[in-house]
Amino acid sequence: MKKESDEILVEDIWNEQKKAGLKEFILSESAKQSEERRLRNELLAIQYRMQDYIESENPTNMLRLMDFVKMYLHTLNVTQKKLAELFEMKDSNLHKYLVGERKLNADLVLKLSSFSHVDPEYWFRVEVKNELIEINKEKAKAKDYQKYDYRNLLAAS
Amino acid sequence: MDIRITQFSDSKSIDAKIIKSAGLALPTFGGWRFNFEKHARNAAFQTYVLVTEETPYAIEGCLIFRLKDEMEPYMAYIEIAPHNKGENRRFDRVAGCLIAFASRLSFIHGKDHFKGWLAFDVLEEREEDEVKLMTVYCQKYGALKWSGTTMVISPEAGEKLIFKFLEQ
Repeated sequence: MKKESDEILVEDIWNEQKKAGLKEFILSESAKQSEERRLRNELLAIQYRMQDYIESENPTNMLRLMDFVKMYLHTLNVTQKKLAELFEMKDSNLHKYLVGERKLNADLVLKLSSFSHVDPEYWFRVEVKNELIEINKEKAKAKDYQKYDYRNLLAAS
Repeated sequence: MDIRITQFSDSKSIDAKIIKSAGLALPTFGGWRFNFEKHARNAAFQTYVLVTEETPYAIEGCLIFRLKDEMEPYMAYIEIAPHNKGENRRFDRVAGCLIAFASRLSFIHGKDHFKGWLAFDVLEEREEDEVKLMTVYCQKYGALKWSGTTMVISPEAGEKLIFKFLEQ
């Protein structure tokens, strides 16, 4: 039977010299990567964060489409204005969609998908996720909505 | 995260998920090598378990991920349940899914040049077992040997693992 004292601990195998050596190794291996590959690493990280946000049960912070677009713009070092030009839209118009003032449509979803190389469905699901979060917040006020019960219509007629 | 593992007896695909360990009774030996219950209390560690949809309280595998110096991804502990080892194991793909998940975490949390690079150590009581296991990590999961017991999974290899074990 395994005992506590038999267990190998992470601390037992690490020292400063080893830590520095590994850091150097990863930095040298990373330096051999192409710019394209390094960019891909950054873009994949955003994509995985988006997937995790969609699948999270109780996200601590609401992330809007704008937040994910900002992550891409920051990584690619381009402005929202440039993105609007690429999308053949007015910057102010694009902004309204990204902050949720306007509902996403298929055209913009496909543009975002093409821009980010992320499945169009994910962009839609971020918006739906946020709507569900809003609905769950509103559920606390369920009493205020009881007057909309169909039975009230029947009773009145 | 929803994934799929394979039932060893009939190769049937089984719905499973990798979730944060909060609220679950974690292994404290009893056939396992590591005391996950103890390590999960370390605030610097992120602990995940793999469970099936059908038996969500039975742990099929455990993973502890750590971000060293707030930038370097490190797979501190990984282990599959004793009943998933050997010739009469219950499930396959458990280790692959957990390693792929750790690679995914290394993309999300790794900083700068460390993004997507996952380091870990292979330690066994007998040296020949250590060599055997390192060979498995090289051949099956595309890991690179750095020095002594330490190995590294590159972003390219990690991306392949994520596709193979988490997205298919």
